[in-house]
Amino acid sequence: MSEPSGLLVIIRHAPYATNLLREGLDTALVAAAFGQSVDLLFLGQGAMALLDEQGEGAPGQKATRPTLDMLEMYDIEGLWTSQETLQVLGLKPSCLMGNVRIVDAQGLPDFIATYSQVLNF
Amino acid sequence: MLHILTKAPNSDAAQQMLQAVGDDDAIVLTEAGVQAALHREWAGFQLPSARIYLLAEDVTAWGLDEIVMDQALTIVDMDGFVALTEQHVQTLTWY
Amino acid sequence: MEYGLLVMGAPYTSPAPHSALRFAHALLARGHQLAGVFFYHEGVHNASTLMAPPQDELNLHKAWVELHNICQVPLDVCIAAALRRGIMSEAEAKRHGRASFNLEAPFELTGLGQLLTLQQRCDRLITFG
Repeated sequence: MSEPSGLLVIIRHAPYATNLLREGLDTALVAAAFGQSVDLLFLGQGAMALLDEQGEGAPGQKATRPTLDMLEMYDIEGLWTSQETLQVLGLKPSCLMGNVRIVDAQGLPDFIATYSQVLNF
Repeated sequence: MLHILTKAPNSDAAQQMLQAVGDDDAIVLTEAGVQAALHREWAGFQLPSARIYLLAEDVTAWGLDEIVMDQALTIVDMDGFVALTEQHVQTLTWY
Repeated sequence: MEYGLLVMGAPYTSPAPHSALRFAHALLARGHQLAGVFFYHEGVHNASTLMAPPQDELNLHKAWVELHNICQVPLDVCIAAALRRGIMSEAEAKRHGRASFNLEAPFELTGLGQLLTLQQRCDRLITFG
């Protein structure tokens, strides 16, 4: 196995629930702007941010989809969720944005260990 | 990897942590996480090799000293908690 | 070792600031260095000079200042998270045309880049959420 490298930002909170999703994404964007290699892992409620058909924010709430669409411009291409997360939420992979990849069941410890730095939001 | 769980064993945070715990990892239960002492059936205790520690001052604050002793669970004080972070390069907090 | 702490929890809402402070004192007692504390998300409220808890409760703002006085640790507050929540230095209050401010030294408003620098520089970054 190669040396761990790069930053993994884990997002565990849904859009419109707390500001943690937005503040986690902001951290990922700033890290990428600083030239760090960054991937995002959406666990639990956080995976609700990946639904392809999500709309604009209810009046007064800023939507997160535009921020997710910006990630690619910052060279953040690794968007991940886990098999267990999809099971718990009852989500089909076909509901998710097209560029999301799925970590196999029981594969999460090894997946996380490939990163040298992790931040959990 | 050292995992810090600050939420109760039935929380989303706890479930997510359990997905992420690897064979060589350790877990420190702090804040509401010490409630796991009331649930010996909690999946965290069933993990084959993960070592689990409860933060002593939170155990006392939550009134669980006797239960922790009866269950022969391992406690650490704040100094021991810092020592655990020395032993693990990565620390991940589930909150 | 060099430690950095990331505080995400609000005072008197979450136990995270208390845990972080006790951890900070314990790591100093073990001979480690504390390179920085970064306040993000609801943690930015720890910086408010206007908090006035009852006398029988720990004043968390004061407790952070005391920690700084012991080890000169930088107390960095994410500016975007702070301004959103009404935590402002005198300079920011002027810039935004506000009559008052609630963030003073040793707390400093800074960008998120500071958190990433802290993580890269330190041997350990511990999150208190």
